[in-house]
Amino acid sequence: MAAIAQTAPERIAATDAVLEVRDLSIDFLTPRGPVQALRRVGLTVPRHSTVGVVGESGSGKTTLISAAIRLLPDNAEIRGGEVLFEGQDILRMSPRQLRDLRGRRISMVFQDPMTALNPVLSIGTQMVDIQYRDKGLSTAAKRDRAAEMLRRVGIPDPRQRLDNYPHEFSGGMRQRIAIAMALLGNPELLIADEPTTALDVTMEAQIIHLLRELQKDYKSSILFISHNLGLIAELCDYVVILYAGTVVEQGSVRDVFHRPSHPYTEALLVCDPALLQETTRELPTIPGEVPDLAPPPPGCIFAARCPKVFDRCRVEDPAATWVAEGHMARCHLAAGRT
Amino acid sequence: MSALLEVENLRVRFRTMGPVRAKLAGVADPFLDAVLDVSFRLEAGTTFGLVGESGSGKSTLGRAIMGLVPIHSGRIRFMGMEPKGRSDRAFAGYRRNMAMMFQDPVASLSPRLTVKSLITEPFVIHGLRGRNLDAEARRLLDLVGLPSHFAGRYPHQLSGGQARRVGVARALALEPKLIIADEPTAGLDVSVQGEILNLMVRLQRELGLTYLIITHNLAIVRHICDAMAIMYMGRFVERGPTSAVFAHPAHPYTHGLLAAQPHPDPDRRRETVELTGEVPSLARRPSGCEFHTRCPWAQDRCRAERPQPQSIGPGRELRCHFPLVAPAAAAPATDRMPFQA
Repeated sequence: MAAIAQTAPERIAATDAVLEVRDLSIDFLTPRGPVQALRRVGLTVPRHSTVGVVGESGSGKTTLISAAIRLLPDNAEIRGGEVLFEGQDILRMSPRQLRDLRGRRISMVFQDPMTALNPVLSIGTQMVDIQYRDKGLSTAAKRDRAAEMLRRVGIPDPRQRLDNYPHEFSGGMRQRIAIAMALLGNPELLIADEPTTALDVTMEAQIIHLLRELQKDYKSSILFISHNLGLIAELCDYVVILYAGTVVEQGSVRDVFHRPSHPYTEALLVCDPALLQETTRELPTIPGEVPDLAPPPPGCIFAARCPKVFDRCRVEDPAATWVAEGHMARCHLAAGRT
Repeated sequence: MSALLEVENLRVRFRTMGPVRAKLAGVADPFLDAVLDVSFRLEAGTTFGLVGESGSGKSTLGRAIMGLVPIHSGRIRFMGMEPKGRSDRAFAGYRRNMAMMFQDPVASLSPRLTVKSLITEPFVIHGLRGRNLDAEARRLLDLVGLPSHFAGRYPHQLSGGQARRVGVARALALEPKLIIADEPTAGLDVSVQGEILNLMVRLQRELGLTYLIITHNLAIVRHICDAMAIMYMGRFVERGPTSAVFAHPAHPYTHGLLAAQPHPDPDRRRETVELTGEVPSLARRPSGCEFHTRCPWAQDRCRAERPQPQSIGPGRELRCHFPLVAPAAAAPATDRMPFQA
């Protein structure tokens, strides 16, 4: 297969990848002109690993995962690149192939479990329905599987709770159910889009713990989207920092958190109030705003807000530079250091 | 110094079913206590943080102080006035010096009004029509760091951070003494979160504001609050100066909340979850100490006897039979405490 050909320099090198995004560029066609939501994005999800994608609102996180399961809105135009799942390009699949993929080999857990679950069907009905592909299995057997999966994600009395409706569960329980449903197909890849944003910290800690355990048991890979650096550090093996549609840095969590090599990553880490040792009433910020991407400014995408900006940054877009093995940064300064 | 706001033994309850249905169902007490036995003082010019999980009663307490929900028993005194049993006119007087910043700034701004109308609406409501509203709008926008041409914009034309600033401007319109901010930075990116908090701190310094901040973000409380209270099932389980509470959390619940905060350091991953389960239903309050169902260190006494508030140091109050004692000592502590390097 074409999987080994032309290894683009900006992805984590992995021999066995579940998902590989290569040079993906997506525009949104708007009355104002095309908005370049993603530009030459590359990332790899190695098998049995968890990859976190961090980015502020407007960074293209959602566009990226929508592309990974081909749920892009109608005005999205794929300008180039490929999304390889087990070596096959998702962007070139037929609707039939996609149906086989979604919900079975790639599952998704959304931010708000209440909108992901059908409010007028019991949990049991929904969990049986989702197994529609297993024609050989009786409904009773499917209910058994559903109950077992609920038990696995920590729902007490799973058999009785199958008859309950989504509103009869708390937010944390609903998210556990959404995770259970996503895992019913035993997917190779689980995409979790800010799965704990709507939850309390105590519940968040429990869900993160659960995801970690489930990943070990089910040997699936997770693509975890978040803007919470603490959660990324807690859960992920690799991290991809997305800024205004561009991957500015990626590498193992240890490398990126301990030796950030892009000024944006540094700024994000500094801004996290949980990382400030001394208490202060003057919290660090990143001055300025995310640039307009219709079209993006010339030069480095972060130049307008970068504290270390110099002339070259405003004219020349920095290439992806390897600062260490498996650690990429897209910055002229990083290029100077190696 | 006299306190700006005093809350004494406050109790707020909500009816769960009508009297007839309660009679038929044999429910003697068809109420839920959302806030129970809450007492605290808020000194002028300080910031007080209210922390707890969803359903802990922190927003209800804020709303009770605003006069948005009726008080069952206890007392709230704000600048010598009380929010209950008064005419609309007197009530407007009570509210004249306090303002609320709501959780979701875009949802709390009417989509059909311009920013100017939104931030000058308080003048109209309080009958201050004599003011030059254009000038007031310019002054308020300037105060929160927005350019004056924003006056003509509609809420959907604002980013999350800008909408938050409009929320601050609206709260500041009548030059209040007290601002109650419900999750002032929920849903914002970290960089923007810092901007909003810095703005609030600057305004406090310049205008002498007093803040009551309702949040579940402990990192924020640690940086900007002078004192804090942890709520659980409607009660204050621990209260005290922020630095003291963070240095030595004495209630197991406080400890659990601190331990649940994710720390952005891959070398400090938590292998276990200290606080499991979730808040029980208010309709079925556990016996004794209400936290005993989730407390890792609960003992027989906790199940039987309700702990009374006890003082454990200057300004510190606690409801626990077996407080965690300061460092390393008797506390059956986990291997590390968050926020301590």
